[in-house]
Amino acid sequence: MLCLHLGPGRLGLGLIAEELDQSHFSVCLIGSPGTGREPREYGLAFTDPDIGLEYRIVDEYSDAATVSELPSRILSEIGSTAPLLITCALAAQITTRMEFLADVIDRRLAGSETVLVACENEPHDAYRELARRCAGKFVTCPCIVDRICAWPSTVTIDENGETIVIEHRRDDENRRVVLVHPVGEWVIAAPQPIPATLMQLQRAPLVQITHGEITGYENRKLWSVNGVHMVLALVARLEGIRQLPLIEPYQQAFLQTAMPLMAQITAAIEDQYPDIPHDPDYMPDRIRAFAQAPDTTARILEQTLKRSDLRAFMGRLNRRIGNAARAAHKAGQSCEPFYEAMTLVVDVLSSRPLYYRETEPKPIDDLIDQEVLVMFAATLADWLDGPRAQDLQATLGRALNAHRSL
Amino acid sequence: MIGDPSQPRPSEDAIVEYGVLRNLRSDAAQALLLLGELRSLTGWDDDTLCAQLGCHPETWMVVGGRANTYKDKDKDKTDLDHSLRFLKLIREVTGRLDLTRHRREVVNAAFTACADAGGVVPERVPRILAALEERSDGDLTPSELLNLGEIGKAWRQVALNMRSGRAYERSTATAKLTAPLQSHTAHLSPERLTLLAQPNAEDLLGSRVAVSMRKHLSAPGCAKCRRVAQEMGLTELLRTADLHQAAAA
Repeated sequence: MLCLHLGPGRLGLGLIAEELDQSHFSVCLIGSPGTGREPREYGLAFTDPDIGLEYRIVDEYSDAATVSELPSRILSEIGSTAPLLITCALAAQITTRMEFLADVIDRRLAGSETVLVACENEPHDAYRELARRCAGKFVTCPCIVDRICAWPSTVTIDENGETIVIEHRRDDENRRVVLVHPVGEWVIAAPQPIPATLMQLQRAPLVQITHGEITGYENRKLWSVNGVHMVLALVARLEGIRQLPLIEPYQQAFLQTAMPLMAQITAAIEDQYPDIPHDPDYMPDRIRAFAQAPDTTARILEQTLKRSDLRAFMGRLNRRIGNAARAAHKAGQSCEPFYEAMTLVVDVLSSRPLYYRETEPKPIDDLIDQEVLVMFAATLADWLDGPRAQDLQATLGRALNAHRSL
Repeated sequence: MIGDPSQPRPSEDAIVEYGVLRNLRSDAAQALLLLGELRSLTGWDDDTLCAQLGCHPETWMVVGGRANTYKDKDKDKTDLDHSLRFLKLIREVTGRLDLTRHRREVVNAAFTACADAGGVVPERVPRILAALEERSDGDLTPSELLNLGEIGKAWRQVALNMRSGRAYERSTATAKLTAPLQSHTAHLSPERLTLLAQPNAEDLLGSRVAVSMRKHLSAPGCAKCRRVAQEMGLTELLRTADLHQAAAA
């Protein structure tokens, strides 16, 4: 069975292609147009030393700009009645591949099974647009993807004392290598009856097929993986820990740090989504994964912990921690660990040296800061008592204001 | 006040008007001298410095120069005493660091500690001074952490040592979250240890701070920090710290 995978980046190779390989799909990786011929072989460097570095081979690699440029074998399969799986891990780049995808779907014979899985936790609106354009011709399945996939990197210090992360995306033979942690999941919401493509895919070890709403899985992942990782990354930042993995005693300490928060998130998930099967190892496994993956703290925070514009940081904080806190509050939890996390946030955001350097330094904008403070107030709403919320907002407001002169 | 003469000087008229120049021992003159020192230490102009300190030059002048126009002279005097103590505290802690950006951070941190100390205003600075020197469980005092350039850690500990107020409540909450890590973390953060190992450590950390850090690390030194440095593979740093210390001795 053929799968076309668009977006062979870290997640594409580290989770999607790996699981497709495990479930014996014939895989055609489709990279950005004009990127040239890539080796069909790629490496997975597992953080578990017992597994180590393994190489996988896909059937085809193409940088085709249009469907007609795809290898003839692939074209003939697209034009056949055989079921076709399309997976995408393109983030915002999906907009550049709309015509391509629409053309693939148009070439499918009437009645043949075509399933599209957008491997994004927050799929771009373009997927909805595609579903509207090609209504009835394919099935789209929402999913949740979770695995630490990083480009192997080394860290150096420049003359200003700033950390510079150097990625090593290829080995000596020009094959791409992705560093992966064994823990992960790929939860796909499938219609009933389950399409043949997904029946085959569910043979892969990390794939889980579910029916109906996927929101519970989404929030479980967002709150307990991304949310807890965000808090742990902020702890690491406050403690001046730039590089992971952490030695064993540190791993245990991080686990203990996250325990109270995890307990409240678990209670919130169980209260709001009783249908999700309880897995006692779900969160501890993911905290260990955070501490074990050779990585930098920056991977989790660097994109958003920029002083000129904290709106993306605040948006994530609200979705990952604020929403979890509200759900925990609704479930009758004390929310103290969430308050502790928020004091940590204020501590980090108050300290100018803890921000990451901007490639092009931008001035601090009053209006953006105001918006950030409003977003922070929204994060604290409906779970934290008034005086504490006001104190945190006032402290953050004063700190952001003081940064103007630093 | 000391500073760049081309900068705006909103307090100049007031200096003349309130007779500061006639009596340099007056409280107003003391305040101005302290502000001048801070201006020099932080590189901020009058307005910025006073904004960071939560005051304004004219306010200082009014408090110091015209106290007899207030109805409640005792209160004025108390306020002025507090202000002078506050400025002296800031000058003292700021002067320990070498780099302007670090001094500015200290001004902000000290201001927050004082503003959120809770309790009676005149007692805040004495409480902060006591908190700076308080040793918990035989560990370093915040004052010693400050000498090592661990600014954030020092002021979080000050807040904890004050035992009341909003700053204390926030620091307690953060400390609860990070408590499991405390037995593994050292006084010197891994990030700053990395900087100390750089050839231009003095430029990155400040010369006095770099010396204090090396002294802290040099044998027998702080076992915890030496262990962390060893775990980070910074054996060369430990060797040079020992050599520096031997040379200094």
